Amino acid sequence: MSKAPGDPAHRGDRAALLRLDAVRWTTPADAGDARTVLESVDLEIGAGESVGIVGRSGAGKTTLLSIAAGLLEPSAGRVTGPSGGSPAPGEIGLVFQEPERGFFEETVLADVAFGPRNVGASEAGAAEAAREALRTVGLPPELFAGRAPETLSGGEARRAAIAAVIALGPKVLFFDEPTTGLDQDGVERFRAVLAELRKAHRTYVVVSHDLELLAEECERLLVLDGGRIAFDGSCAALPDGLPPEWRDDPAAWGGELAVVAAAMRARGWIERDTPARVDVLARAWVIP
Amino acid sequence: MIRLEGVRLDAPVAAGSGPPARLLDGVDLEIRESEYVVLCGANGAGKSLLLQLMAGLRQPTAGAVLFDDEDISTALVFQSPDDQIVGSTVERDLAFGLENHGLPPDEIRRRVREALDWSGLAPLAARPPHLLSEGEKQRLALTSALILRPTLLLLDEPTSRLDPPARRRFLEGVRQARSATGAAVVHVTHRSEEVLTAGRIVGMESGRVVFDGTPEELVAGEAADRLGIRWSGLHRLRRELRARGAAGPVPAGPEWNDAQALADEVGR
Repeated sequence: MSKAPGDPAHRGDRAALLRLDAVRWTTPADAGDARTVLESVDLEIGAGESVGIVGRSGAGKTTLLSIAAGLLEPSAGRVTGPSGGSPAPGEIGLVFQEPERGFFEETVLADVAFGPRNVGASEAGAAEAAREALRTVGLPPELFAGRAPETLSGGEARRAAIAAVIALGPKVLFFDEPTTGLDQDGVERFRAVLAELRKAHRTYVVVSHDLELLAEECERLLVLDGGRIAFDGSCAALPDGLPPEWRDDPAAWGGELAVVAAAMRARGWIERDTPARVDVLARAWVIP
Repeated sequence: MIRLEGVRLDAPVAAGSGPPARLLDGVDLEIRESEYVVLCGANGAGKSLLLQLMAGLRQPTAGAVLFDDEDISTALVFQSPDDQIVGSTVERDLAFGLENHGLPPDEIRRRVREALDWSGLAPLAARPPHLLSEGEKQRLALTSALILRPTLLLLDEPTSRLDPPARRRFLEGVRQARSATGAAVVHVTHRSEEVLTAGRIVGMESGRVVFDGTPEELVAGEAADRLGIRWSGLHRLRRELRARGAAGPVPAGPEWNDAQALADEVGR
């Protein structure tokens, strides 16, 4: 049996792209009641990994992304980026929540090309990077390059905003709640973007309340709870290893599918490291 | 209590740039007293526009939005609480709508005090809204809507940014308010767990109402897959199993999301 993808031993053979050592973050005292959002976070993400992060609102997920992307200085601890120092601008691409609110150019192509142009790419180079990024997110430039951003549907706009980050050529992509407000089609198309990234061996981290999405699209899962990483392992191990209050109330964190998968595992219908994917479980379901 | 008749809404266009896009196209819909209606449809189907028409924030290009009597009042909760929270503290935000309605100061103080109690926001009364969690902000937005004692509560994807426990708490708050006041609710959502627990589901596609019925009818019919509903993993698994002839009939109610029931079927 192959090793679970989240197993640290398995990650050891991949070059580390990003490392957090004892990272701590406390809200500035002048913001009212200062509180510690991240206690002490150690984390290493290897090249080509797909990582999901789940946690209650206020658990520090967005803070963790901001620190790892170099947008926020940790109160203590150290962040090491892909080139060995602090993450440099553009090395880590962060797709914010509801990123489509940030469009400002007149065409989709101009908006996606803005980033690379801004960091010094030539006009032609920026346009080419933008076209390539639009293809990656499933918006063929032949159809979408000349469109005005406000004429895009919700799902299309979300993907165009993702393309704007991809066009910068980051080594790691962070997505913060990428499916908020999307309908089923929008979610499916976002999943296709992730599949495309995996095919290209790109590294990504997705923060979401949608544990099902993470279990299906990420090999490794982190649970952030009380400012610490409470679980770090393979999605296929769920719900084992989770903090008890999560394990005992799967509906509270969207882990229903994992419960069914665990029952199937106990019965020997699926292997120990089989992920809780709908298609996989349906295939493995034995008709007595 | 509220009736939409032949409602049409066109997108505004600059002169000479061709015919306007039709955003809503011949919508007939009646919401009855104390009803709980879920409104669903893919992104861009016109759900939010329909809510805004009911709230009086927009006027139809053609057709009419009719109220049974003048005592009907509406309140709207948006997807993002940041779009509607205006007060500098929780307490002041709760008072804002009442002040706008010109209520006497004593009455405002009394209602705010009561609302702080039943909403559980009392410990946060003096806190500036930007220091609240997303779940607390959305609870404030809901409470600021309910404090106006609306007879029709309009919810525009209010739970989409919340974590599952906060989502549960929010919906419980809506349920309690309904049983206390008998307000009708129109709730826009993509989530199958929320869609299938409604008494009545209205489905929209391209600016038209294409489905109006019960969860059972939705699950049995063809419209279910055209409404952009985000089916939970359990729902999708049950449907797959049904397609393979492995599981019995698919329940349409909340039991469809009961993981233990399905896990028990594994044991059998």
